[in-house]
Amino acid sequence: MPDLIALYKSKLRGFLNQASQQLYENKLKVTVISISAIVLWAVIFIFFYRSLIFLRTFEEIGNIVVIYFLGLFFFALGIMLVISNAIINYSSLYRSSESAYLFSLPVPAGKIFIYRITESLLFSSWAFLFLGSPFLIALGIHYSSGWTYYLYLVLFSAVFIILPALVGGLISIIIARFLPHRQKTVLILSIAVIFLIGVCFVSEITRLEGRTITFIISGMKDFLERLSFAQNPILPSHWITRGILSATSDASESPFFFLLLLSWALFLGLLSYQTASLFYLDGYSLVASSTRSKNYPAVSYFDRVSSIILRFLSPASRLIVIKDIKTLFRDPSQWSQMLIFFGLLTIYFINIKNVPYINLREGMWQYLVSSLNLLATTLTLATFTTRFIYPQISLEGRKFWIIGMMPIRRKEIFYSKFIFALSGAIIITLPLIFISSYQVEVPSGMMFQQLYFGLIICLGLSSIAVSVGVLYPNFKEDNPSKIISGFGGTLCLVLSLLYLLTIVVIGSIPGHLYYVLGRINSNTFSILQIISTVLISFGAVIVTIISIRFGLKSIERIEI
Amino acid sequence: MLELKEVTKYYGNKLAVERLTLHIPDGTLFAFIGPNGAGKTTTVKMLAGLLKPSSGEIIINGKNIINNSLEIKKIISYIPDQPFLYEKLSGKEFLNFIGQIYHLPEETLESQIARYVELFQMSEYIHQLIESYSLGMKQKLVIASSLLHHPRLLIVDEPLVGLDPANVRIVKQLFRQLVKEGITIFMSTHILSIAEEIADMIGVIHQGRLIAQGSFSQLKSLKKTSPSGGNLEDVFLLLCEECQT
Ligand SMILES: Nc1ncnc2c1ncn2[C@@H]1O[C@H](COP(=O)(O)OP(=O)(O)OP(=O)(O)O)[C@@H](O)[C@H]1O
Ligand SMILES: [Mg+2]
Repeated sequence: MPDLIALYKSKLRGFLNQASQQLYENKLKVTVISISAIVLWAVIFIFFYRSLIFLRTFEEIGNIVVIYFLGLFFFALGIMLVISNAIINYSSLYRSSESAYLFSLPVPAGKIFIYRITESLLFSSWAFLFLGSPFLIALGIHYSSGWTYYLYLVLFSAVFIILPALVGGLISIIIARFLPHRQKTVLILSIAVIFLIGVCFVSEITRLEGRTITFIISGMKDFLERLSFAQNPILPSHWITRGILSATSDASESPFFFLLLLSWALFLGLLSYQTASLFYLDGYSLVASSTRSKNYPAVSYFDRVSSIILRFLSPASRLIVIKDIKTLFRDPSQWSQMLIFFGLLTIYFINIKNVPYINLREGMWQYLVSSLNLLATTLTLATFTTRFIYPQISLEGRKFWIIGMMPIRRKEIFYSKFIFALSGAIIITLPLIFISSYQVEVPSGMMFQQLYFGLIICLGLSSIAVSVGVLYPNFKEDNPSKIISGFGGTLCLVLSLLYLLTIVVIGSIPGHLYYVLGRINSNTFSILQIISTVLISFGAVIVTIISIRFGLKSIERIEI
Repeated sequence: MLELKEVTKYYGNKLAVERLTLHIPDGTLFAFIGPNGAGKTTTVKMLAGLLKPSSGEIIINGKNIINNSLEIKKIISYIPDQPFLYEKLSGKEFLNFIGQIYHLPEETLESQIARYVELFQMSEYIHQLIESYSLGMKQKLVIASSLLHHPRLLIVDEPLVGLDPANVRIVKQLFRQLVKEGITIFMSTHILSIAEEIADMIGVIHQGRLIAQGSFSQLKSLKKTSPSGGNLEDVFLLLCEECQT
């Protein structure tokens, strides 16, 4: 125990030192990020709160929807946390210099394991705390629950995020010990499994979408039954759902479910501690010695093709872009997440047509569904620009001087990162929006508008991600998952979301008034649409120019 | 103190260390030299317990390192070629942390810290964050941190990287002093003049195999043909050349 205390103490000390340093040196930075975070939190909170009030108008069914949404929320969250914990844990347990260092100290492997997974737990669950808390607090206020609700909320959340960290840690210990040479196979297999789960999930939901929106009472039962896989009583997500729901009223069930959750956390904690004590060090040695010396051709097929495609760039920028693409692709744990999410979106969009939709020919549903699809696609894109583009400059890391010393202007470095980001974003986003519009059979005018919105969102998000990456690089860390959890990553995500939401909201006001509320006639609709499109374009251009300006200025200032 | 028996290490299918056998008695400064990629770092990592040998045995203080790793780690210290430091801690905080990990009593820890701060003249910056240190300042802190708990065996990979001449001398003297106190030092290095000057025993490794071993004078007598009669560098280059052909 004293070992662990010493470890946590030093980590906390380091964190406090860093925080006071930041507060002292970058008051403005800290203020900006805190205010943006509070604003974003409030927006999400209001959104959920309003939705709850809206659902109340449906009385009993509204309540049931809330219950099921809560169940789905924790279910999806649990799966996401297991994946992200497994990935972060693998690199922090086996690839980081800190773990190597700790192994040279007389600290038992099990304790190093516990210490390291605590860190990745905190890294992987801040998003949950940020996105989940507005919803759960809104729920408490909505049901006017007493203080016990909030107490249980804290208790349940704390224990619930520990479970995926333990499972993720256990998975990586076992993979490293028993399959150190098969990392690729394991990765591909797990992608396949997650994909399958996702496909089932998506197809269940698409089959029902028509009914959820129209709230046909008889369809409701069917709907809930289909979602009931997330309510399987053996799942921890079910326990936390039941416990928290009960806490909104008399909390009669909460202690039971809390203890159930806690006992599993303790059991898994013990199990993974013992497993780590047995296998962690062995696995570490195996992973460290399993790199095969593979020869890579000096100029590959890939190089040739991409330099033809990237003709329009200067030779130096072209080289940087090709280097970045290669680096990304040689690290499958990075791009596999992208594959899973965008793959699922594609399947979902393709499936939309098979939904027994009654209303899809109606303008309102076409409009609603395609707008929601646009939102889903670009939201995913925003998390991915933050995840992959923002760390690009930081990942150059201590080697930034290599690029810095090359006979190219830093401006060009910036533009090559920007082009890399933008083309990646466009290649992923526009086809998806096209598929969605095509499947929903929207009129071509609407399709072009959606594609146009998609394009300018790509433009803004890429410029924000690259610029924040340049403004707040983190050259100390070489694990991208950790780079994004820092200040710059949070800022990048917050700015991206604000930008994206603004565009989508302004862009959908005319459609909302015309299709959904029917308040305006088609002439006013056209005029409003032109106005909103002009506004959006203007805003997007300004955001892009400002962030590129900032980026260009600060890339000149980077010192290593 | 330290014994290697037929230690072999593969990376995947690449042979990095081949049947390395060494016997290093207590209170010896052993210098491990060899060209780039010869297998020095690999050997050092195996001694520190970070890598398991593919075959063979490593015995420290009479105990096999595989079964007694925790016990052995308490009496050894390992300084890697690229040492890790908690950059957001101050030097003093880092040393305190190490002291707690080794369960050193408060007074011992304080006096040890004072001793090394004084020796390496670190008092000026010991309370600043490590991230602001220069390469040499960091290296001194690492060496200090590795000696706080009076290790019986010190394993160092390239200990003198980044140190200025004054500090190189301090470290040389410190190492001799430690050896006199009975501590064993296993040091891999590229600076042959230093190996020649302070090592009791020198091992030469080439492409994973130990090609020569002994004190400097023994090595010299091995290579009488050495034209300039010379220093360790001549002997070393000759040995390597011979192995190439
Ligand atoms: N993780 C690894 N995977 C595959 N091969 C490795 C790995 N680490 C080292 N090697 C190979 O093992 C051999 C020995 O490497 P090692 O790092 O021990 O050399 P060294 O003697 O320390 O060299 P230097 O003087 O450059 O530090 C080299 O041929 C190297 O290519
Ligand atoms: Mg080396």
